[in-house]
Amino acid sequence: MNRLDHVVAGALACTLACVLALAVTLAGCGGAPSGGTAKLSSNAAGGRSGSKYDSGPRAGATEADDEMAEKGESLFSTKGCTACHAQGRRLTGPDLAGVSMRRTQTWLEHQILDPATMAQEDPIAREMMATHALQMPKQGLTPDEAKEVIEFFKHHDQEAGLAPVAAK
Amino acid sequence: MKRWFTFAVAAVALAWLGMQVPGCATTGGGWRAAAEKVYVKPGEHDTYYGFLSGGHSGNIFVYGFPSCRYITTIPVFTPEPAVGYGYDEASKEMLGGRTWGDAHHPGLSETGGNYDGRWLFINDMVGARIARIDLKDFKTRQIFGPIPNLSAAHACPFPTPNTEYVFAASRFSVPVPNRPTKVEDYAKEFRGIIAGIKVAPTDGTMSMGFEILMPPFAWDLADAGKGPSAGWTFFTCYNSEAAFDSLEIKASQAEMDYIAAVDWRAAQKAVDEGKADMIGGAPVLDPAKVKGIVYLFPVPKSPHGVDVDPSGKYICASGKLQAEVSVFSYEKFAAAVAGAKFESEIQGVPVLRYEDVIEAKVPVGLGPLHTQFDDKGYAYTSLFLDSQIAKWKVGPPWDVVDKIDAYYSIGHLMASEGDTRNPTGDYVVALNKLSKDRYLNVGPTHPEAAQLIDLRGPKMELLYDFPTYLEPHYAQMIKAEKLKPITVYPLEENTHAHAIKRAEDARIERKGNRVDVYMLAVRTHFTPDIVRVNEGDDVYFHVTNLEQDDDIAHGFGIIWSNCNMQIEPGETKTMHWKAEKAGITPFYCSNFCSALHQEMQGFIEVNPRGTPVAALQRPEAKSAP
Repeated sequence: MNRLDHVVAGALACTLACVLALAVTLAGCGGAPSGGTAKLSSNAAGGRSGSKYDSGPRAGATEADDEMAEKGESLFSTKGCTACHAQGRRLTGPDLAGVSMRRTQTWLEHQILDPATMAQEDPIAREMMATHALQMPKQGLTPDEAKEVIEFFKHHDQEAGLAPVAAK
Repeated sequence: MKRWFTFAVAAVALAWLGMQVPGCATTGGGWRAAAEKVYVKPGEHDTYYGFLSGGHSGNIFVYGFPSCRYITTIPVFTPEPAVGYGYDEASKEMLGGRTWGDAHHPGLSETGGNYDGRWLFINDMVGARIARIDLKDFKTRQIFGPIPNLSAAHACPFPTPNTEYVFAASRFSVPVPNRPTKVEDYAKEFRGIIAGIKVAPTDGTMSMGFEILMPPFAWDLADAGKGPSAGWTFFTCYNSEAAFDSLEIKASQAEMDYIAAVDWRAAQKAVDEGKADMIGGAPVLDPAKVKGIVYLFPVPKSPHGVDVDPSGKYICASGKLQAEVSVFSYEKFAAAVAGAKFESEIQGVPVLRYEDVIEAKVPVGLGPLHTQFDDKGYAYTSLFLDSQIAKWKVGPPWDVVDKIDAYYSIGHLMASEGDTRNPTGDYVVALNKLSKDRYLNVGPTHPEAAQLIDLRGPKMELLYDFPTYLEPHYAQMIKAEKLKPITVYPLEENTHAHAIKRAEDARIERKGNRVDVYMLAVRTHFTPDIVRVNEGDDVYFHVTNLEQDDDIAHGFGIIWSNCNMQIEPGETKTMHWKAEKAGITPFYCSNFCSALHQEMQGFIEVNPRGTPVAALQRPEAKSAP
């Protein structure tokens, strides 16, 4: 190496160091995204499924309220549910026969009222989204209306003589 | 020496690197400060909605400010295939067979002289029509007109302080009623018209109020009085020379043209008392026979804009061929009318003396067109020829305090709530007629240009420059918090005659050659998805989108046809399709909806003419395998 080569090499080394230092600074400058990312909480507290909403007794373990169930049946057809769901066969969405014996009251309420969050955070809802290639639409039911629809599911399942099944 | 040289090279390299990183640069000066004033962080919202008229594209463009981000287009007078505006039966009927309009002046509804966020009106200048957009869903809900006897409506709609009326004045004069005439008989046979259109306070429905027969001048722009001047609407005109050819020369001869002041309560009362003649289906008042409804006062040099200041005390007119804004006093005007101090009468309309009504002349610059206001007592006038905005004091000493350049050839300008009783004084947008070299070159058809200017400091400050599609004229800027648009149509409020809300109601009904398909759309299917009809049938698809989730619209497009529409969550729309030829025709969801969007489709089976078909078909219940 001649003298000039030494100078250039030294300058390059120094520049490289500066670039690295700058890159570190830049990482702070760009800022990491905060919030809004899906939480893959497969190990969240709850039943063996990992769902924090699906532990405890199944919804159908308690007796259905007939009056609420009647309202729920009507909501089931007027709120657009029947476009994708039936009891006894699978349409676009899962077959709902026995659903009150498979899921807890809390899980069903969350799935009806806030399916988008469930699809992001709840392992059961995520798995269903993967199976059906579709997140369940939110149909704008009120919390009371959701309870009535669940009573309708319970009523149907109890009439059919189904029994609660343990959470997977 | 060697070490010194090494450091020098490294320092230059580092400085160069620093310059490559705009976000982290420590220098930047005034533009960086300006950029921060228009920057809206990802996920955050602008503080103002801007509604820019689309000119001869016939639409309204919605922008967010201060970011100047284009948000959406509201189709108004022009079909828009993406959403099916002008394609589905209801919007097709509303357009009435017209496929273009010239949308000039958006006017937000007002209560007490301030924007109330209910409706947006806009004129179709060429068709003499006025549309009402409901700001609950940003949809055009009524197109009123063509207004009888009106030959194009430029001075339109300019709502009154409580949205009692919108107005329309004829840009061109023609014989009223129109009949075979020689153009040379212009002065004798041609007339202008000023129309007052009533607006229902409950739902904004427009209906005919009154028309006034006016001299054959070119009625140009308007503004409603407010505060003390509420009850009056002011209209400028040019061509008081009544020229009918070579207007650029002949209509610019006179020293003075006029403002017409219409007492719209008196005009409506006269119609209600039966003083109007029915012409072309409209009640028309003749000022030669009905007094006290309209007055003229002289304005120098072919005025264009007329704008009433926030106090309602001053009427500011821009004589486009003089370098001044003429400010008239409402108080003086009212006194002259009360004292019946008239210098003459033109075709029955009394003319006040200029000296009796003028208050001040503000030397703003060349080619003044329009004036808007802020909350600190200043006015902002666009100067077309100087390509500038002049800021001036409303009130003594009536002096110009600041000017800023516009790129290029500014027409209208829009200040934030700047034509109301209470302007907010935050921004003004220059709506420029030419963009020339401001953006990447896209060939000879240039976009228009607009500029966001900050009004909060003592001097106007240019913040941002953005292109717009053809061609914003006027615009309105309203605080975002005043609007509360819905995000879905609640299914329970859907009263469409052909809506279905239950899957079991999906069906196909046949009466003669008319087939009504009651169809639902939900991720990710149509029900029914097989539609059997016969050759020659008129098929009406009534599609209800059963979704209630935000932003899940479905499309309904039929291949080999002009049929396409978008159906919003909870909405029902009807599409007519003619079964021209026996065979199979697929249809599909044309608006991306979900992972299985591609699967959202169906077939129309067109059987030969006369094939026996049941009067009622219901889709078979299908299970997934």
